[in-house]
Amino acid sequence: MSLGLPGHLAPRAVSAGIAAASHAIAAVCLGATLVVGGAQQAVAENRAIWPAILVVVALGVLLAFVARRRTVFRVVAYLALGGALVYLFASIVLVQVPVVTSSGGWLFAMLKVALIMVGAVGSRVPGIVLPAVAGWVIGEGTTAAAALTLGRPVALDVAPALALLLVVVVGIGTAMRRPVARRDQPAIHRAAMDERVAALRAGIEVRATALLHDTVLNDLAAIAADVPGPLRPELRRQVQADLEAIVGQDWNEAGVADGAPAASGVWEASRISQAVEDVQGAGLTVEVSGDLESVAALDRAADDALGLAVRQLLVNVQKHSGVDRAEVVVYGGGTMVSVMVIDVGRGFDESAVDRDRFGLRTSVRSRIESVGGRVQVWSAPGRGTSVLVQVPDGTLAGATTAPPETAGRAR
Amino acid sequence: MTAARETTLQALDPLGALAGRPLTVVGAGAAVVVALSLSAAGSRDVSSPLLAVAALAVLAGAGAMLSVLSAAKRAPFTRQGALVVVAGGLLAHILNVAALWERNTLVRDDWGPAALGMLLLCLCPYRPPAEIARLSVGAAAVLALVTLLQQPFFVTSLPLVAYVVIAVVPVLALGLGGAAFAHRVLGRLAAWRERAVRSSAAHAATLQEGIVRSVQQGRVSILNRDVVPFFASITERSELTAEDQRRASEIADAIRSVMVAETERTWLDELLVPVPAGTEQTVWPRVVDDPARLVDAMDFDQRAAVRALVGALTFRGGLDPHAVRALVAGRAGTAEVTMRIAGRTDLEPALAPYVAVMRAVFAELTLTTDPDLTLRFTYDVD
Repeated sequence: MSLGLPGHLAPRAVSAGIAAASHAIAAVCLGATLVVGGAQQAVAENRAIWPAILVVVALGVLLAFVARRRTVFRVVAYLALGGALVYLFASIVLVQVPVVTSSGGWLFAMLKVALIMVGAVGSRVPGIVLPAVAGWVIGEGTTAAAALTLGRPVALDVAPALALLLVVVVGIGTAMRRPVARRDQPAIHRAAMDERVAALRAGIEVRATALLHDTVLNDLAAIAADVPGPLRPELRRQVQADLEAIVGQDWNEAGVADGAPAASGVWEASRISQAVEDVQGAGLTVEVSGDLESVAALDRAADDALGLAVRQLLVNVQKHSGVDRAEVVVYGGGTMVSVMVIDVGRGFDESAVDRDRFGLRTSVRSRIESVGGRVQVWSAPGRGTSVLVQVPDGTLAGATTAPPETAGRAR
Repeated sequence: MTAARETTLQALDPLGALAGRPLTVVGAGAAVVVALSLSAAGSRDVSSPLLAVAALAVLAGAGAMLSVLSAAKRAPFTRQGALVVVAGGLLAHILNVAALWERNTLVRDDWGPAALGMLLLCLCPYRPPAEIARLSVGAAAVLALVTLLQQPFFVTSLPLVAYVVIAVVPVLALGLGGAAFAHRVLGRLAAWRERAVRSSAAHAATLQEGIVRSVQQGRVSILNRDVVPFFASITERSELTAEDQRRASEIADAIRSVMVAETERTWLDELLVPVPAGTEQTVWPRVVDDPARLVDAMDFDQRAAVRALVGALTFRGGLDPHAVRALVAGRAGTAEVTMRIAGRTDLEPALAPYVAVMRAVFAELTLTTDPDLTLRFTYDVD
């Protein structure tokens, strides 16, 4: 979710941003002073400019101190100690560097800007503007004091004044525009929350539809296809069990919900093993092979989805393939558990399946996609059918449900 | 899925960028004002007035370009746009240096570096911090070179490196300052997003049980009417008749037709024309034309942005969602949605923040108001 900062955090974030920008500007100014001061010392070996360079280094340490944590104490300390250091610097430079004749030199401008760029405290306008104003007053004041002490002329600098103006305009400007920026932000975050709930609901609807398909529609189809006469005990049991599952049971406990812990842990207890047994009971021969224990890594939602999907695939083999034998191959590896259901029956063209046949679409594909898995079908008329179903195993935290931020919604 | 969005404030905090845009215009204007003032103050150093005017004109052009490109309706501000603005600023400085050729004795009076620094600072809501930092360093390198070329005319006895540093400081300070601002705010945004995703996932999980119940209720209320009495009657009689079989097919067909109608409705249909849970209706007003179900390929942010827009239309604009028509067409890995709202062009101003958010999450977006309010936007599909 990346649709903007919420209103209550925006002022603090902007203030932190202004402070970061201020400190970057101050650092560049101090760095420039070091380079120019060093260069001047290099060409004038008989002069003692290096103490001024040490003063700049000390100011850099102070800057790091205030940049680390923005508190009123640290800001005041930076301005107070910084002012003293600037005075010292100006006193040294006015004596040692002949081209600097007044309090308005370029080197001084850099340090004045470094004081102005002390950074914001808090998130209100005074917390942004006042430290900068104080920095400007202290910078101009201490250099003027140094110049007066040495009998040199005092001159105000343009660059520090512009730097102060920049901080003032940005501080007041962002505060003035804040209500405009944030008026609609709550509606946007509410929409994001609604979308999350809608995605959750859509996933639950998919699993509910699949559950209905596996139970009620299968039972109705079995009744329609049976011969009139006394109700077969198996059919009666099936109908009663399904009614119980649909109407009598809380669906929160029926695998319709997400994220329940794995119910099985071993092959025999897994839903896919139960599905194989059920279909074998109905007369299909199913050969199971592969790494059966890999299903132990599945959580409950994935186990349920895989079991119900495999059941539907085996029912499809029984109903449509024209053969009475299917093969189920299970293998784990990476972060996925894969199950291949293979038959050598008459095959089909997936794109030619009627739009109201839900077996593959809902009971298999949508259901598997709703737990973050995928389904691939290889089939052609006369060539048999292989279906590969893959679901994420429990080794990735939360991987069994496709995170709604990244997944297109499965339906 | 849609390509990752650039890590810019404009993309990740669109409303912040929208509100900050007047500051961008002020900043661009300030760059020009500073240049004009310093030009006027140093006019006696000018050796070519024509070049001096040209330099100011180019700078004004770069500032205007920055103002125009930063408009919300032109979002996103591209890398090419940023390059043009910075190149304009550099060209203006070079022309100004040419205008002062042989007479520029003090680099610190040049307006070029300060103006260029302002332009770089103003880019910070629109471009990634690393790119702004790279542009600043690149621009500083060009300024250094231009400064070295003027060496023969410098009068004071400063070491050459001092001239270079004086020339590049405004650009580095303001450019890196802008980059630091964007970096820090984006960091705060990322930290908040992480917390928000976690807490809203937790919130959704607490809602899950209720949603499952309401879904069950909807489904069961349909089953209770036909299926449950039918199954009860069969198991009670323990016998199947031909009539039972006919009835089984009939009920199965009815359930299927509800399922077909449901699965053919996309989330956008559901958003515009919500259907109460448990309804057995199979025909709804078709307001979305999306045969390939391309709206399913939108990512979370895109769906949330559309949802926010529709919310604004209905709640703020008092619009009947049935009045919205959406057409979704796909070609070559891209889907294009056209949403048309008949006769409600008056809604446009109120929609501006929502459109700004949509511009941030969709690749291309156009809004026209002639004669209907029409919104077109595209996104990538797998």
